[in-house]
Amino acid sequence: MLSKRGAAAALLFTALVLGVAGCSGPADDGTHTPATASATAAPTATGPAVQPIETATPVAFDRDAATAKARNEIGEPWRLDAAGATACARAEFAFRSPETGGDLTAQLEQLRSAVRKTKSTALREAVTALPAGAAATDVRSVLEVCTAMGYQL
Amino acid sequence: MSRPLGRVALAVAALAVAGLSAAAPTASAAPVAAPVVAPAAPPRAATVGVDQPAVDLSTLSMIPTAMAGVLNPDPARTQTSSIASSVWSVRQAGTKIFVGGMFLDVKADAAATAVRQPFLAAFDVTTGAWDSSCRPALDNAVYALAVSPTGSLLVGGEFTTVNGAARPGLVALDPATCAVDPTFPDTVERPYSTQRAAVRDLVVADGKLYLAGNFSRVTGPNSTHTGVFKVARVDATTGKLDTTFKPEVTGSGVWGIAVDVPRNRVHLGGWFSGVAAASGTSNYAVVDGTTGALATGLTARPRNNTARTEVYDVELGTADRVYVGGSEHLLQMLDAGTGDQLAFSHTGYNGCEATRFTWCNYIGAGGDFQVAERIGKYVFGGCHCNDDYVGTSPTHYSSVTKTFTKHKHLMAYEAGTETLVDSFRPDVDGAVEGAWAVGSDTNGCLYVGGDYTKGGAAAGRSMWVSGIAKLCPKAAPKPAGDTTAPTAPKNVEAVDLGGGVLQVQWTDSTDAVGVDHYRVAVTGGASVDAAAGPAKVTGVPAGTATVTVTALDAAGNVSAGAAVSIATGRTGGDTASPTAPTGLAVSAAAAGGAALTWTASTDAVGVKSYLVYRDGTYVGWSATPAWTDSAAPAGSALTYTVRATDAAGNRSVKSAPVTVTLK
Repeated sequence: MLSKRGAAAALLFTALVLGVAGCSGPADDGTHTPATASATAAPTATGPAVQPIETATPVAFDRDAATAKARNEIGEPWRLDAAGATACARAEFAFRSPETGGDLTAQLEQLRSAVRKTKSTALREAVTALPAGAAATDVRSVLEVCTAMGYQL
Repeated sequence: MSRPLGRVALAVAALAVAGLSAAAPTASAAPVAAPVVAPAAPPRAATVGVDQPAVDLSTLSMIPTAMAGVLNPDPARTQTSSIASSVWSVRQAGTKIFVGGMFLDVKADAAATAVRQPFLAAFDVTTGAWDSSCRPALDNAVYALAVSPTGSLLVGGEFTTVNGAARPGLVALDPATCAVDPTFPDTVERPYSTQRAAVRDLVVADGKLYLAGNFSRVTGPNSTHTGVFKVARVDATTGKLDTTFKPEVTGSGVWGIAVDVPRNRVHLGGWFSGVAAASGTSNYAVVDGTTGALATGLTARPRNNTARTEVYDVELGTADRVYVGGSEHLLQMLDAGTGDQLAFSHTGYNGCEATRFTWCNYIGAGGDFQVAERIGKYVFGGCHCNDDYVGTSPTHYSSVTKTFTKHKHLMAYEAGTETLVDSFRPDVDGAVEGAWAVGSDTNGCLYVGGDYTKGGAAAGRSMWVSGIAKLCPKAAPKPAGDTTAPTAPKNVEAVDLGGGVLQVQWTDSTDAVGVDHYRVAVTGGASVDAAAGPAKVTGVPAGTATVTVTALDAAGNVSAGAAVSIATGRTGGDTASPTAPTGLAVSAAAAGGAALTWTASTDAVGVKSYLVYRDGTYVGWSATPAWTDSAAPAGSALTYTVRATDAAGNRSVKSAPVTVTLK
């Protein structure tokens, strides 16, 4: 069963693909059925329990973001421009720094720098809303925007 | 899907394969025109390891050898449900060929009953029979297979349980029993996502196992949980994670990984947004082999479509080359040291080379390259390119020869130059997905996996294939237990060429294992063996002769004979050929098949018969200007031609071709 966000993503993806010449994905041209976000079982997480970010309240697609023709791995439209993708990567590094040994302070600085270049209003606002001296867990709100725009964790 | 370029041949070391030798690096690629650059000299010789057993394409039959198959793909058991390929990986371990994918069932042959054995199945390496004693139970799709230094089968995929125990994404199995190998403890996790963790590729190099996918933790020995970013390296025997190697891949998944041991670099391909948040690193990047840090200073990879840049597989070739396959319908060969593009192949596009990749024109058909696998001295590139031509235009382009050719599904390239092996055209067909897996075995056979459903069509045969096709050397060992004779040849036609020589041809037989050769015998004792028609029999006395054709398979089973009588003893005279048939028309026959009509030829003495060819292969003859090809398959384009013969054996040139697709 598709999630609400997944269903919307599938519809938008279909619309995007129809206007694009060439190969629309891993199927032959003209016969390809656009991918949908497949419903999957909960992960078997045997490590430290965390709340999956992709189940957080969806953030609406940002109409200010550049129209993207690319997709993520499961076929959802990729609504992040290059700067937005970079910002999301920095957000992931910051959020996961406690378990990966990353430098939280440096990643937050890089995140704030990277997000200035994106056209995504929602992403910029999410980063701006981070408190000074934010903790790693605070970055979850940024990643919620990222995943709603096709970024996968 | 990929393999290491390294100094060890660990993946099949446990197989104790005799007779395999490391291929010597080939010479540098021949220079090709822009945008391809002249290759730089390698900084040092790269010793090439051997992963899967080598195959000899000069002896390989393009007609598949019969084997059991897999079927009923269930895309819902994957996250990438748009790809309905039954098979995703094939690998020999011990005396078995393991096939992994999203299939639910296995089947012995076309007439057998399907048996439920989802996602991973084993087949006898010699007979191709399903091994019902090996019943691993996984709950979701398998994407990658490799062999550990100790001989265990390493399995990567999207499963969460194996044989009833929690084993998300990764497991080692004993290939003899298919039980879980408890000494290899690693699994993967993806706790921040609602999607399952998946392992898309496995490569064993230098005693290390490299795993790639979309996971974010590795669970190792003693239940350690370590955060990673979609790629990890563990000890291939103990499973101990190498925490110094930490590539920071973000976005979606890594689908292909290739390990360049001499350069201490690792190549990554997939759907990811970047490595270490660096610009220009989406979907393909090279990282340091020690730390996983991004390798810098490499030439940016040219792309023929700015919106479609996904990579499905990366592979090391020989002579310091790396292959990158993916969107858009593109397989590139790069200099492993500099990143320069040295050669490329694509399907369904033109104009890329002339415009230095600034503009490419989609001409239809073709498909993304979704698997690149080096086996011996070849790199095999597979794509979902089901049509080898559009209209009258071939769809496969090679920058090495600068020519378009009619190739589809799976191509073979010289590993050091990306020179296409033109004669390699596997006679197998499927529905949509094309080739996703390539493997080989110690009998010298090649396997191609995908959504294949049939084989032998180009040779006028109708063979059952299901998911996985096996191509073996023409002189393959006799399959044990084959007691079924081939079907009898049909449509035997003989022409007296004069001087005691008869020319004979026929429509081919079919066989469960494969026809080895035909025997053409003439009353009076003359006979000849031939791999295919037409065949010439000499020493035939004047009078009346009966010509009988039988088919023999590799096990020595002989078919019933098909015979025709002919007056012999012609001494010469008529040397003029008939005129070519004209007005060839093809339509669907009411009773099935293709109905052909044409305008009769003329001849100085008299037309004796017409020979009918489907896709260049003789399929039958008629004494009148009409014939029905009742065996014509539906659903694919068929091209017919007809030629006339006279009583003296003279033949006309072929008629203009006519193409038809039957519903």
